[in-house]
Amino acid sequence: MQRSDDRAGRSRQRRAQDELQASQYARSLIEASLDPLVTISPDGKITDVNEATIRVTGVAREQLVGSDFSNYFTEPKKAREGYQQVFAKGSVTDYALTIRHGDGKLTDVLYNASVYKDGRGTVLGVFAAARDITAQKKAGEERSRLAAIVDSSADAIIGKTLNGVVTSWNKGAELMFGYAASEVIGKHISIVIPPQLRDEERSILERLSQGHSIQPYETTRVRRDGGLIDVSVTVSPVRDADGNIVGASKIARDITAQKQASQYARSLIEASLDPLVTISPDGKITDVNEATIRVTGVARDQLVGSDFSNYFTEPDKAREGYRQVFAQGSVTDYPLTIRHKDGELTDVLYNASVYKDVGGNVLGVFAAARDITDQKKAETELQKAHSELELRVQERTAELATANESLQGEIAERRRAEQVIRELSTPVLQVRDGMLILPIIGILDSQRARQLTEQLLRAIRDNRARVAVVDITGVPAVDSKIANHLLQTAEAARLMGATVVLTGLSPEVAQALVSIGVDLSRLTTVGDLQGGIADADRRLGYKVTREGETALGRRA
Amino acid sequence: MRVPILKQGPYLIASVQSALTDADLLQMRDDLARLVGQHRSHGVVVDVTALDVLDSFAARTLRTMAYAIRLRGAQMVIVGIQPEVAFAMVQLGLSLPGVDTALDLEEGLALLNRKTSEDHASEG
Repeated sequence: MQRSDDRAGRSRQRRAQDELQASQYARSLIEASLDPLVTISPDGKITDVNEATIRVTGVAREQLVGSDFSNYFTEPKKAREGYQQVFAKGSVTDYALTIRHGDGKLTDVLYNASVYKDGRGTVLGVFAAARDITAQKKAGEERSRLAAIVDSSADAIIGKTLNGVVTSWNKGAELMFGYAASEVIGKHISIVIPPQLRDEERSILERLSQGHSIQPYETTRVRRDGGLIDVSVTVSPVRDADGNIVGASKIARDITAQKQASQYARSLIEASLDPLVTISPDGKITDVNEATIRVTGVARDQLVGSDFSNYFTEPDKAREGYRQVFAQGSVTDYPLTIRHKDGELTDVLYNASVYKDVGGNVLGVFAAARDITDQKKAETELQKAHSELELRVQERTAELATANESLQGEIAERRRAEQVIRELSTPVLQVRDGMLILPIIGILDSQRARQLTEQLLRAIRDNRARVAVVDITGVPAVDSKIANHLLQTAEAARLMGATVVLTGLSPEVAQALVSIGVDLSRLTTVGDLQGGIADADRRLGYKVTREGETALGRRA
Repeated sequence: MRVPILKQGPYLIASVQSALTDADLLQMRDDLARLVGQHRSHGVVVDVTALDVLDSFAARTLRTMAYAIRLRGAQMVIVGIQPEVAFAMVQLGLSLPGVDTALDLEEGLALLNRKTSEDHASEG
């Protein structure tokens, strides 16, 4: 009995020891688990926790044990339902809960729990193991975010195998090509490639599978409705975990609008009537518009790449021009003459400036020429019109000059006529050699008197007269001024060697002259013209006799 | 310019060819006064046909010349005064009183002939 007791005691002891060892082993396994493990009593109190539970809740073991299990979740009610389910069903799997850490951090977990019983089958509590699925969940979120990005992209993003079979097809692709993802996935990509471009696709996939990188390129694709679209395509290899290329992802961007914009710009350039040209820094033509082709008569492909200066009458000046553009950034109104290949010349003014890439590097010169031939022609015509006008003005001036001359002639003629009339008004008559008679009739004013003097003195010289008889019988009145004038005339005549005999002073005139004190004593005066002539005859040595009288006289 | 003086028979002829300075006039006056005695001339003709102006000094000089020559026993006649010159002189009061005038050289010589023959006649 003693021994058996001892044996029994020893076996009990060993069993206890074994149990202890087993329990320690189990404990260490539990502690070693990275998943939070917990045992819960039927009334919902925590009876044991492992280290992972302490970490995930941030609560010390002593506080955890005995506290309510549901306290540590964002949804305590759901947690309670969970372990009640375990008691009811015996176990739950992947029951989703969120643990709240003491500092507020949340941990998404999936609970797997089952009841544990004693040897007799009595339920002692619930053993619950939580699996932290935060990382997993995050990855899922990331994946769906990426998927959303891909889906929401306006660009078509297409996955395909190296054989060209479509594996993915985003919303952008659906919109761009008009095929739903379900329609194309599993089909060959060639349904969106125009027949003439299928080789291109093949060669790209080939190069890609050989590991070559593909530069983004522009090409044309066909829509479901048969319409063509311009796209810019970027193709990238898709690799598996080992780095093997297993497919291609293709991003296609619709550049129809962009192309249209570019086409629009191009058409603007082409539509310009001015010759436009771009020149590389080494002076070669890189692009031209239609107007340039017209003005040079050279085809576009021949122009492009040729030397810019070739097409001008003064190549050196042209070169100097684009050198200036590179040096100064621009030139304005640079005059040059373009020579058409047929020899026709066009005068132009060049306006040019450098054009740069986004980085500010000079790519070349953009030069626009303005045809000023018409302008020059207009100028020439203007000048012609001007000179014609001048010619006409000259002609007119000449006409006027002629008219003026003839007018002058007429005036002179008239003067002569007037002179004749004046002279006739005071006639100077020669009656004998050396004798002049001036019969004056009418009013003798100072102008007529002066004229009388001039005529008398000139006649004395011209006729070599020695005596002049001035008869004023016909003059109604003589004032002192006229009288003095007559005196002066007589003296002037004397200086010329001639004598003036004044005749015909009426009684009134004689008395008037005396009363105003004019001294005519220095003047030879005779009563009448007859007496005056007789006096003159005597002075000149003439002797006038009547034939009969003479004969009678002789006889007597 | 010195006025050339020609001897023509019993007369001297001073022919003024261009505008005269005062010195030229005085020179002519002195020359004539001297030559009249030297050549025993009866008369002097001063021809001013070429002159288109006779100022007061010229007129006075001609007058004094005439008086001086008369004192030397000869007659002086001024010939060729142009109409314009004559009237201008009269208007300036330069009427050469007591000086004989004639139309031109020919008339001047004729006048001298008449005068000297009268003299001779009165002498005779």
